[in-house]
Amino acid sequence: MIYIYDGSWDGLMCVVSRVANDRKFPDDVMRIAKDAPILLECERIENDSAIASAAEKTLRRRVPSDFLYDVWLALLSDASGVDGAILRALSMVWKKGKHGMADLANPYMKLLQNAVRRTGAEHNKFLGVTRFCDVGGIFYAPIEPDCDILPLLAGHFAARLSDQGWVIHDLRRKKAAVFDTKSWIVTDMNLPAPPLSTEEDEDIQALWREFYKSTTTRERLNPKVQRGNMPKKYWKHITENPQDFPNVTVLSYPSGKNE
Amino acid sequence: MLMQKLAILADAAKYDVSCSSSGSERKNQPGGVGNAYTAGICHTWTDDGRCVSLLKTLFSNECVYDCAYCVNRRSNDRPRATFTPQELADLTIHFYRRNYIEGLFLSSCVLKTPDDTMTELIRAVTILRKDYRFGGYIHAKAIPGASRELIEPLGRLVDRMSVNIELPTEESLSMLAPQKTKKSILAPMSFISGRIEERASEKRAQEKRLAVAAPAFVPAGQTTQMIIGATPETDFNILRLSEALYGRFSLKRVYYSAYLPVNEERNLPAIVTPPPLLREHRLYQADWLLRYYGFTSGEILDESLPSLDDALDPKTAWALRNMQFFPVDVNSAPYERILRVPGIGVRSAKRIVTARRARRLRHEDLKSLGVVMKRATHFLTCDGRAEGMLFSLEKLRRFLSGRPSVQQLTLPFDPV
Repeated sequence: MIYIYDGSWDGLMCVVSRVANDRKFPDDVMRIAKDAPILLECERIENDSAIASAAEKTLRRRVPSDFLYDVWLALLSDASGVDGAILRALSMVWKKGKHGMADLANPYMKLLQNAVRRTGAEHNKFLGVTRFCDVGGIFYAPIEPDCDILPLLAGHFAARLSDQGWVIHDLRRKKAAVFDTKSWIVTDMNLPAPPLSTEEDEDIQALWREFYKSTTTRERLNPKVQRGNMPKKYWKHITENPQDFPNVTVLSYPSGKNE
Repeated sequence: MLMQKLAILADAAKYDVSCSSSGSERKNQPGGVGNAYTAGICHTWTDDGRCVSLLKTLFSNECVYDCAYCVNRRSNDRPRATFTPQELADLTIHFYRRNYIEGLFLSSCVLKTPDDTMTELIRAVTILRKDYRFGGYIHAKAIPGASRELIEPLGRLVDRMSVNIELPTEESLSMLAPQKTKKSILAPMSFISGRIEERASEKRAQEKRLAVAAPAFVPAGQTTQMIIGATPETDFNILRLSEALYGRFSLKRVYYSAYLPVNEERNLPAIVTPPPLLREHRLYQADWLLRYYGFTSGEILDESLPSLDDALDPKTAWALRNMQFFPVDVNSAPYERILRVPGIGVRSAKRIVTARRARRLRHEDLKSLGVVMKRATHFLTCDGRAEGMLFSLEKLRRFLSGRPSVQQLTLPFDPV
């Protein structure tokens, strides 16, 4: 049996509730968006907020909240195969508590922790590489992350850029976090064309590109380390222009590390 | 015009390697913009692979000093520029609102006198903090020779301050930077660390409700930088100095900068000499051992062994000289011993100590914890079981130094 659900937190809680009632794990858990296998027996678990909140309340009695936070991060990772591992790991922590949480060598825990790290790493990366441009009183930032990090980014930028309206647009998921200087929400968004930046903004972008170029030490070119930290998939929406150096001899040592 | 200034002054500032934005918990003020992020955030990486976190620029490169190693020295024929405090503050805010940067790293050449320079830096930072209520990260240089009366107010406005020690000994300093003295560098450094310590005890008193709130002073601590390879000091001299700086002035970081010849000078390496990048890299590794791994400089090097090994990282080199310390058993050894195993970093060591509470760890478990076993396997056991190939010490040394990446380097040393 394979359970199909929508990939949301509430959806997961409904799956948990079902598994707890049946006292039986499904062979796998999958998300609606992904291709569901046709040959195997599937069952769609519908979202029910009453069931979800009851299941969450029960879980919170025995499962530490930092572990539930990890489960949420793992859900956001959109990593393939993570849903089944989450279910098994949750059940282990339910049974063994802190002792179960420490068992990092357990294969399900390992999958879950890898997913947590995947979300965490991309969250961290986008705290840096998200680029806003002024489109006329509102600051607009397009992103295309692998993980569903909008809620994580929104909290950060609401605390930081608290006196300007902004929109962070996840082009891949067609969703956006919108902030009006008081609170933020995540909403569906599909724009026919990217909004245009103001003239002043274009000038500031040019200044930033000049700074980026000037701060490079030409004698120490090291595209390998640059790409290791900022893979090319992130270049599309950043303002600056990293260079392609096909013929540079790569030095295999990093320069001064920053923490 | 602003574009030209930025190009000149950012280019002139790039020899400062520090760009970290960590260690501060500054909050956003109502009606203001920005906050600090304790772990620091990298915003982009330049083509030389370095992280850009801050708008790193000089306030001015119109220098009255004539230091032999410095590209901005008075006697060099170079384009010169100076920001106004307002220009610099505006630029910082514009960049910050677009999330290009975490904040500002402000340094300067010596404009007329050290105190005149400091006054300008204070003006720029004051506009940011007071007029714009800017809560982002600011790292400022204390100019060597500046008076305490100016270091104090700057320290209250910024998150981090640094004074570059530049060269490891007084002799080298007097030869290459005749207008700087050991005293002009160490005096502000010691003043800053004294004030940080005072502030910490004020804070403790405050928590016990014995005193009223005192303003923060350089909450993210101070750092320094040393030039490597311009003068004849050994790695051992340098590490001993770093250790002393960490101990005496509680520095957060010592940065090492491989000397890149920018001036033709009798006392310095020729202009075609490539920067000693591998040496710089090994010094950073050794520095990590001092700060996070509980090593002393005397364990890493000594008078009879004054240079770090080109072919081996300093921890592996130490391990091969101290085989009596091994093997370390992952199921019973304390954290500090596990941390000394080559190939095990702080993160892996912590994971091992956590995971072994749940079960006895086997070799295959270590792999799934993310431990890099290539080196580690020769130095550890799991419940007494060893899995490393049984090499003689000499063979093991050759095996561990035979990294193919060494062959790709275009640096002036022989790959082993």
